Amino acid sequence: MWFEFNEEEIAFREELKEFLDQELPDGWIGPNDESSDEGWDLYCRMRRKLAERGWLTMTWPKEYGGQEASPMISLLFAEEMSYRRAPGNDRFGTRMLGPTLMVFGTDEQKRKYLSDIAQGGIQWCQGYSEPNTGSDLASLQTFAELRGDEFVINGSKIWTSMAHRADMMFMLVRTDRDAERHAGISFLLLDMKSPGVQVNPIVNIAGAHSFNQVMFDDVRVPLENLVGELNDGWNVAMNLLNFERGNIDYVSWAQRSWEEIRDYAATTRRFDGSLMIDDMKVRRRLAELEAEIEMARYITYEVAWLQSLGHPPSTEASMCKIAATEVNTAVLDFGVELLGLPGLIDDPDEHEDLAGRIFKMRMYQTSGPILAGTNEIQKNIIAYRGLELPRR
Amino acid sequence: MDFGLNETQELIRSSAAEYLSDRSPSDFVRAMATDERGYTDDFWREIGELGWLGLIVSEEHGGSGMDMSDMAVLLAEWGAALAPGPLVESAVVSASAIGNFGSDSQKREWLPTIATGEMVVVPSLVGMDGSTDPGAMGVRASETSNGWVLSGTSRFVPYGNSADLVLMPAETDAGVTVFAVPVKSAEGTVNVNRVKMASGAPACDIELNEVVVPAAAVLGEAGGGADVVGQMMLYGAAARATQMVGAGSAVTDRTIEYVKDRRQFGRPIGAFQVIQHYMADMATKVKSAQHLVNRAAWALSADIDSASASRAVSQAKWTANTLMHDIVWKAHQSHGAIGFTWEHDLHLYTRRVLSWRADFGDSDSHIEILGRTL
Repeated sequence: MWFEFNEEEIAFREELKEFLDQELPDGWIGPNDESSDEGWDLYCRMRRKLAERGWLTMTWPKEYGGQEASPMISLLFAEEMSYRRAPGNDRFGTRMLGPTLMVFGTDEQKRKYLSDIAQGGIQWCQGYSEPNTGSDLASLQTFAELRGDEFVINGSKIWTSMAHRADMMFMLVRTDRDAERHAGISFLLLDMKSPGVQVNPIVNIAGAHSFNQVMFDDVRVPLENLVGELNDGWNVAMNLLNFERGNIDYVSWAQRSWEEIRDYAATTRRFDGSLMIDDMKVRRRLAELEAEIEMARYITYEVAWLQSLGHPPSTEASMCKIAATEVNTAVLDFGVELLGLPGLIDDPDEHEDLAGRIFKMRMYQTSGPILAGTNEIQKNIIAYRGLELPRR
Repeated sequence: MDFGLNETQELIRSSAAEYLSDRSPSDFVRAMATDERGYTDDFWREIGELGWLGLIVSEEHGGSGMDMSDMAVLLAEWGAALAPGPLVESAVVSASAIGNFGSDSQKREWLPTIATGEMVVVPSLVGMDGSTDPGAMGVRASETSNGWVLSGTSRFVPYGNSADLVLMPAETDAGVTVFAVPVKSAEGTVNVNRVKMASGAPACDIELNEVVVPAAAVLGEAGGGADVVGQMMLYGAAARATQMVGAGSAVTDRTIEYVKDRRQFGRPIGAFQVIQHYMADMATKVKSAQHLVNRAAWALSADIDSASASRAVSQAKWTANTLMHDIVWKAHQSHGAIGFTWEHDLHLYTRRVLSWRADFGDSDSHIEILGRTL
C-alpha cells in the first residue's frame, strides 16, 4: 500500500506542467473548440508539439518509436492534460488505433500509419455507433460488400467525434449478413476524402458542433485496408476497447471545476456582504464532493496500477467510469445551483467568468455517463464479469 | 502508487480470515452480543497470542512494531467477521496514544500487557450529550497535594466493564487533561453501569466520585489533553472506518451469493437487471471506500504532514459512514423478508455498521472538519 507518486512520476508531471505553461495560450481556460478554425489550428499545433516530445505515444513499444512508459506515467499525462483542458491529446490514433494495428495490422499498415500517428500528423475518428445501434454495438448494419479487391460501403455512422476534422476513420462494418451477428463484422480503415463520404454536423445540447453523422454512398475501400481477418472485426474491436477507457479525464475535469467553484465561492459576496464560502453549507457540500472525487481518482489509479502489473482491468475500469462521470456531473450540478441566476448566463463572450460558462460545462458533461458504454452497460459488465451474476 | 498487500500483510489477511471464520462464527457473535462483557477472556488471550493486540506496539515494548497500514489489513477482516472485543479501543486507540504521549514508565508499564491482552485499556471520548464534542465531557479533575481528584460521569465508555484503565479526558484548571483511570482499583467511588447497545458491544456510564489518581496517571501534559484526544479520535476514526468497510464488503459478498441462489419467477433474482445494478453499485461503493480507508491508514503510517493525514482520515470516515450505510439498506432490500428476521445474520451487520457510524466522529463532524479546511 502506497498512496503517493514516485520521484520519476513527479518529475515527469513537473516537466509536463512547464511545457503546458509555455505552449498553451496566455490565460488559457479551455476547453478548446475544435469546430472553430482557430481552435483546430491550436489542436493541431499542440498535437505536433506533444508528438515531438514523444508523449502521445509514450506507452508504445520501442520498436514502434515509443518509450514503453508505465501506465502510471501515461495516466499522469492524461490527468494533467485534462486538468488544464489542454487540446492535442489525440486518443483515436495513439491510444486506440495504434495499439490495435500493432496486434492485428499487416506490416504494410503498420508502416503506412504508425509513424504518422506518432508524429501527430494525422487525425483519426472512430466509426462504431449507428443510428439504430446505441449500446448494442453488434447490431450494426452499415454494409461493406467485397467486390474483387475492394469493399463498397453503404450505410451511416453517427455520434462520430472529429469526423469533420479527421483524415481517416477506423470503422466496423457488416461483411456477412447471414453469419451470427458478432461473426459477420469486419474492421476497416477509410480515407475520409473518399468519394461518397458525406459528413453532416450534429450540434450538441451545449450548442457546440462536437460530433457528426457520416453517410456512406457506394464508398470504395481497398481490400488492403482490412485490419485482421475478414469477419473477425468484433474480436479486433473488443481488443481495442481495452485501450479506450481514459476515465482519469473525468476525474481531472471534476477536480478543475470543483476548484473553480471553490474559488468563485471564496471571492463572491452575497448581498449581506458575506462571502459564499463563509456559509458552512457551501463548505460541507464542497467537502463531500471532494471526497467523492478522491474515490473516483483512486479507482482510476488502481486501474493503471493493475495494468502496470500486466493484469487487464475489467470491472475496475467500469467502476471508475461510473464513479468519475457521476462525480463530474454532480460537481457541476452543485456549481450551477450555487451560482444561481448568474450561473445560467449562456454567452460565449462571458466565457472567462465561471458564471458565464458553468451551465455550458454542465450541458457538455451530460455525455460522460452516456458515451463509451453507458453507465448502465458498465453496471451490466460489473454484474456479469465481476460478480458473475446469472444472465437468466 | 501501490494498491497491493506486501508479504506480511498478505499473511495477516489470510491468517485473520482463517482464524476468525473458525473462531468467530455467527453463533459466537450472537452469544457475545448478549454477554455481559461482550467477549471472553479465552478469546482475548488467543488474540493476544496471535500477536494482533501488539501489532502497532513497538518491539521495545513487546509488540511487533508494525504500522497502521498493517493494522488496517487485520481490521478489515475483523470487521468482516464482526469479531467481538476491544481491538480498536485497546490495541489501536489506546496503544497508539500511550505510544505517542506516554512517559517511558507509562509505556513500560502498560504497552506490554496491552499487547498480550492481559490488560484492556479503552478511551472515553463521548460527551454528556452523547456527541464526541470534547467540550461536552462530564468529568472534572483538580490537583491536590497527593495527586488529582476526579468527579463526574463518563458516558458510553466502550467495554468499560472490562477495562483495567480508561483514558479519560477531564476539565482541569490547566485545561483538558487525559487521565489513565484504573477503574477497577481506584481509590474513591467508581460506579460502572452497563448500557445495552444496538451493536452488541457493551458501553458503560462510569460515575466517579472523588477518585484520586497519582500525577503519573496523566497521559501527556496537564492541559495538553486536546492533542491526546485529537490523536485518539484520528486513530479511532481510521480504524473504525476500515472495520466498517470490511463489514460492508462481507455484506456485499453475502448479498451477491443470496441473489444468485434465491429464485423467483423461474429464475435467480440476480438475473434481474435491477438487482444486478444494485449489486454493481454495492461492489463499486466497497471499492471506493476501500481505497479511502487504506489511504487513511497509510497517511497515519507514512511521513506526511498532519493536516493532510487528518483530512485523509476524515474523508475515510465520512465515506465509510455514507457508503456502508447505503450498502446495508440495499442489502436488506435485496434480501426481502428473510433479511427482516432475527434468525438471519444480516441484521448483525446492520446493527454494527449503523452503530459504528457514530463512533470517533459522525458524518457531520467529519464533513465539518473537511469543510473548514478546504
